[in-house]
Amino acid sequence: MTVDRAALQRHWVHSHEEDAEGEMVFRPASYGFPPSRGRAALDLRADGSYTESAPGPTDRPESAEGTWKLDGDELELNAADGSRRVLEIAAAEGDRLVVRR
Amino acid sequence: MSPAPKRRQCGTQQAHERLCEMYPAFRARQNGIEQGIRRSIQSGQAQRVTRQLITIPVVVHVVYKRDPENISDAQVKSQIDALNRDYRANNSDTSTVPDVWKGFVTDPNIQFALATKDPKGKATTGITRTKTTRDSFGTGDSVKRATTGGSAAWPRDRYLNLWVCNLGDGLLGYAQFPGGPAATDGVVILYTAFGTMGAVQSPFDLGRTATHEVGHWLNLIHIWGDRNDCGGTDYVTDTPNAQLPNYGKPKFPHISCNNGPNGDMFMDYMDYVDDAAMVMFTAGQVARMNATLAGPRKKVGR
Repeated sequence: MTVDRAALQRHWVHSHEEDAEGEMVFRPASYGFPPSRGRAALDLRADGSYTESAPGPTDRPESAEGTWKLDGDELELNAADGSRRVLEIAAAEGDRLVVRR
Repeated sequence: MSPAPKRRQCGTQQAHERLCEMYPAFRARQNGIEQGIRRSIQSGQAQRVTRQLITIPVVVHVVYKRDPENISDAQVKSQIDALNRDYRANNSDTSTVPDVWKGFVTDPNIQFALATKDPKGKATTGITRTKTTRDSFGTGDSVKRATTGGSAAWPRDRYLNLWVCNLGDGLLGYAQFPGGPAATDGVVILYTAFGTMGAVQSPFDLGRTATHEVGHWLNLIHIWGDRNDCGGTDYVTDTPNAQLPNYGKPKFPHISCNNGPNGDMFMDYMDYVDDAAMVMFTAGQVARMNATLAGPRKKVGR
């Protein structure tokens, strides 16, 4: 499956209420999220940089930076500390991003 | 099991080392505190602390811009009451704990009371009210300083500081572990997630956000171990190994990390479920809290 790079370039926030088994659903940051304990987020910018954040050990969000690139349906995240991981995109359309766990 | 560095992922498969690197000072303090906890539990000192009830004086700093944020005395008291139920395992919803874990529910033997004397020894209600021009507060501790529109902490050797305000960015609360700076020691809670009446909003309307955050203040770790794989640890042996936080109101059992048949202990206060779904501490968590009250927080309430 080919994912449209432009469709990925948004500030995505984890909509855990919509998760199915083996999948995580993300919506744009502007989505009307109900209140929740901490949500993970991934901001994929057009210039190829990203910021990700997630709740930390005391519930403050923690964030990290890096660069991203897209290869087919695989989103590769290269963090500033040198670590690398790949997310498999199941769907990226409009206001919905689905990632396989 | 080797103590894995604690850091939180963005819900993806692989470890993200940089998050760990962001907290080297925290990790160093935690290593010292973890060693102290092990000595305290092994020597029996932590258990001696449980034989006496400890009542912790609390100061609630209400910081408000708009009227609804200036929560009532009654709403404040409802939060103290909720903490007092939860920290004596007196909450009626322990009945919802699955049978297999009912014997794990443990009474922490800790109580809370609004302070009656302020740091200078003068009579107080234990509630301070500060009007601010700030629309909301972040996690940079601006609510804890008068110069940034907040209210200064009372000495943490004598009080638990609870700040209540309009916390922004969709957050419900955050805490500071023992071993951090005194000026920012305590817990911050969103005013609509504080207490059990008044401005509270479902599903965070049973006072459990404070129960969870005060758990961190007493050095409890998230039950999934702060990693999104099976390698994290909460340093407690009677909670199952779990991969991820649970949200909402999960159905029992929820399996992860080969922890079947009973799965994640998502009904524990240190998961991320809704207020009605978190109802217990385990004996191992109580031992950690006792070690904290015998160690880095040995003066408060004594």
